[in-house]
Amino acid sequence: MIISKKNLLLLLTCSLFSLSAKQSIIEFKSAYFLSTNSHFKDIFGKGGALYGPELTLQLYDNEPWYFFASFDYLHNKGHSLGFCDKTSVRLIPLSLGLKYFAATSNKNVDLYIGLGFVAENVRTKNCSSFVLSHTSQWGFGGVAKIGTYYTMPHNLVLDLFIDYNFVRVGNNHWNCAENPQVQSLHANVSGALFGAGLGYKF
Amino acid sequence: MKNRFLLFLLSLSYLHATQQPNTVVATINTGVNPAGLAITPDNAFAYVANNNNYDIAGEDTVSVLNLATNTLAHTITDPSFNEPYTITLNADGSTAYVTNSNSTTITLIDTKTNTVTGTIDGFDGPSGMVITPDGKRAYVNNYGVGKNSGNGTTLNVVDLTTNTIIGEPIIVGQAPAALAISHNGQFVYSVNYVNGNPGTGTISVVETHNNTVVATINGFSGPFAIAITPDGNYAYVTNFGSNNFAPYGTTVSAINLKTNTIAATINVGIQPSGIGITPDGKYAYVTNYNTLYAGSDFTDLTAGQGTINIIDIATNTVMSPTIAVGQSPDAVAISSHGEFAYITNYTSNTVNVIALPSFDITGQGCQTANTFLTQRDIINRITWNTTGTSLPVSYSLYRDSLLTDLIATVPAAEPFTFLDHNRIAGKVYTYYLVGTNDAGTTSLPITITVTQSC
Repeated sequence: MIISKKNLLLLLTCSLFSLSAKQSIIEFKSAYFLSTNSHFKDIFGKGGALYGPELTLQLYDNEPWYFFASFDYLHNKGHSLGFCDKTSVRLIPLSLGLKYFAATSNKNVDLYIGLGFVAENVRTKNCSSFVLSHTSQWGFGGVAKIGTYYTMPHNLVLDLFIDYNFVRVGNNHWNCAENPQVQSLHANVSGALFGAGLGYKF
Repeated sequence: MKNRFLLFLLSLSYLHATQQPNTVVATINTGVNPAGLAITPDNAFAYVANNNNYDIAGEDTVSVLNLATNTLAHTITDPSFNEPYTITLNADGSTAYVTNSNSTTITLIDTKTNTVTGTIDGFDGPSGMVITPDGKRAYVNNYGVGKNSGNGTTLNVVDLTTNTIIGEPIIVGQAPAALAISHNGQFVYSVNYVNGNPGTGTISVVETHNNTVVATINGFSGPFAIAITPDGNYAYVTNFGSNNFAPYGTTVSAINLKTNTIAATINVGIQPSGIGITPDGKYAYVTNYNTLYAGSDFTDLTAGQGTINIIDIATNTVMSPTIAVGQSPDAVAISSHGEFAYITNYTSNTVNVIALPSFDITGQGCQTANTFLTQRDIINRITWNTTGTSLPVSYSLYRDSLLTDLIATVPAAEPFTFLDHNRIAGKVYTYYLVGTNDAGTTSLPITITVTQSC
């Protein structure tokens, strides 16, 4: 399953057009990415800082269903397993999905849960003459969200959240074609996000 | 000096292309009937005594061989030469002592100028000489001369500071044909040919502290040459047998020098004559003289194919190959780094140069991996070790036994490892590794099979 850049742009444009009609939140969030895959952790450590914007749009007036879209960025350095060559990874997950808001007894606090689809670009840079020095692959999966919005004065909102991304990157046939003796691997870039975001509620 | 070095390098590059271990890699012409020879400590030159058994006028000479180019560099003549038989060099190689087997003298040669500087008189058919480790004294065996040839029974002690015979002759067995001295200089071993008949030969063990015979070892058959292992525990003695007629000898005796007993008898070719042991103590090279009378009345002396047998000292067995050399191979000298053996061919009037396997390689391999997030490089790790007296300066790794598919040339820098990248996981790979030392000798390939993970 592949989302073209054209379709993605269309989706974001539609979302922006609906900003004035329903409640919406735009925020910039930062999180600690805690990988849950041992292979990833062996190479890059437990995780790293991830950050990026997120847009949350109410689908209908007075309804608890919201649409969300986000993209994030993580850059991490590590060493290969076996010969300890330098390597680095860039993760750019693009997420789309739905949030369900639940009101609490405090009118300034909303809890939410969410589910969505993730398309993640995984780029690596490898310091070895015997593998491809640069790779770029797309992986696909999902995201589950839980969090709370705290509405502050002046329509500012604080988002405290925990996400879990489950994303797997497939085998690279193009990689095999360039160097058939290099073994191509599935990469699992799943992990939990513990973070906070600061945004503005329209 | 520069040109000489270039010439040396050129000769090495030539040898590199042709040399296989235990093969004759060069033949050098000498004078008439080359017998004993000695190599200078820097392995640059060899001095060969041309015995001239045919009494050709002016042919009692000493040949100087250039071992870098394997050519005859110089021929030394002197009136004192009279059937020169052996050459002994002092520790720094500055003086060569030539035993004149048909006279009573030893001739001294200055090896810097290759000129005769004097003689020492008073011997009786001198046919061998050893020098004590401190360089102060020498022992000379008197085989007998003229009508007394083969009837000598003594050794003389020479003071090398004055070049004079000192003390009384040491009485040993009949016809002392060769000498050896223990590495610590405590004992001199006199190989006594006697009459060449089976079981009659002896070895007299002389303690140098008081110059007395402390033991006699019996049971040899025309013993002719002796060499001591580098560890000093064993001596190997050739049993030449009767002088060019039956019963000729075909064995080498290994002597335990701690007990002064024969520990093993090893079958070799016809008329084992000279013997040399490699510096690592692993192998003994034995010349098989193979020159017998064809006629029933001691006429028609005929030289057959001369050969070299290699004895594995660890097992006291003869190993392959048997190396064909010139006619009537006599003495053996091995370079101090173990790269070459030099054989005098008494009838052919030549010296054969044999490249030696002066190192051993052992190797192993296993499969490992270098794993990145989305790629894995499967790697065969080949490692090896080498031991010996002249270690390789480079190694070549091949994928095939015919040594045509070269995958790497690795310089001799530890650790000895080669990583063969981008292999297939779990597949069995076989590699062939050879080493080449600075003498240009390339070893036989060792096989390394990669079957398991590291």
